Amino acid sequence: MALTSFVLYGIGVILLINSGYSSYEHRQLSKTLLHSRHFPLPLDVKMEAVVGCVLVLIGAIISIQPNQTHVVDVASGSVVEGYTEEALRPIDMGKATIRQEAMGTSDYAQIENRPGYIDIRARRKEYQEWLATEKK
Amino acid sequence: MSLERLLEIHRSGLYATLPLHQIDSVYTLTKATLLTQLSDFERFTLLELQFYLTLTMGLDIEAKHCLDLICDRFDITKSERICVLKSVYVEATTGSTLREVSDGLVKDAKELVRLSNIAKSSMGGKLNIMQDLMAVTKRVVALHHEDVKEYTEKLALFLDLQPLDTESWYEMSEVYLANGNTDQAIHCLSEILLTEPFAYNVWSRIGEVQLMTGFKTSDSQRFEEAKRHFARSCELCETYHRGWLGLLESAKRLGDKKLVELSRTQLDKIVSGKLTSAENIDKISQILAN
Repeated sequence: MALTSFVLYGIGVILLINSGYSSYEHRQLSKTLLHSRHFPLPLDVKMEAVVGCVLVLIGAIISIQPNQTHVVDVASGSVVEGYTEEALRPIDMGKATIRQEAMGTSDYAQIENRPGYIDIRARRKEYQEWLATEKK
Repeated sequence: MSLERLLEIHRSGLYATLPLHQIDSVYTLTKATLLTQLSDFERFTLLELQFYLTLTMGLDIEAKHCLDLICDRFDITKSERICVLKSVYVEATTGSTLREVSDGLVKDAKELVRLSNIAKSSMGGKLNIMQDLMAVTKRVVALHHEDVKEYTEKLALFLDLQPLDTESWYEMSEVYLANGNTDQAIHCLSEILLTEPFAYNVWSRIGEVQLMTGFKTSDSQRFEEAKRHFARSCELCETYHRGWLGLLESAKRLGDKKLVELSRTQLDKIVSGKLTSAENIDKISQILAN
């Protein structure tokens, strides 16, 4: 996939540069030789520019990759298998949240965790008690 | 990768409910990450996270160091957020009563308001603690959690001022639930859904409250309601373990064999594909084994 889009980018850019240079040459020529008459840009130069643009666009679309498959579990830090979805599909809420669930978090976790209402004294006590049982 | 993880812990407020055995590893990671090249935003976000973690672990000197670093950058007479942080520090490390902590916080906030009003008097427009310093007001409410009656009144008053504060609605519902007022608790949770209709954890939570009430009263209507809410949360997140577990339980009570089968297959899929965090997988396997 990456190689195809790279080749397409290359060909597209070469075509664009070539058509640009051709139109420049054509302009120079019409200035020196035919300055009194209307002298339109040849069709092949125009077509070359259009084809170059289209190739670059196709290359860009092909290069879009789906999301990474591995995500990190937020609380424990272990790497877990995420959910791979095909790129360039309409985003479905039910599927988009799968990745967050694999991470052990969600966009709405803050509502439940309530950091604004943290009871720091109780937390400290819990931690000390846990530490004491852990040491035994 | 670790930086994003820490920022996510801060953003989701997970540090307030992080399992105790994981606090130490997150703390070590934060400490190491703080030594690397960070932008200002990342540095002070991590410092705030570190502040809460060290306070929880009882490392008061380090917590004070974090607070000082934040204070040096953002003046306490200009930031209500630092007033709040300071009050958390005072609450955790001193033996003073919560009322004294709250008085100290209000004093800091008044000073902030006074200085800012002097600066702003030429431009017009003045600050007011109750209407403009919402973080301080919320923290003052939170400091009243010892007396249930007063706490409920204060929360209600605050929610009149700030009806879109989902965190406070959730806190209110927990207070009601602890006192057995399930219908009020469900009402508070429904208020969250008005603001955040896609909050699937809240949909699940309503289902859980309905389920609990159903166990107590053996009212099949409650199980029906629970099923509806769990189903919505599963619709919003296809691998949401709490949603599927609740759906399994309410389907069992309602005697809906097809739904039981469906939830079981889905839960098996979640466990075998490791589509949720390790702790949740343990929980699911235990329940499925029974």
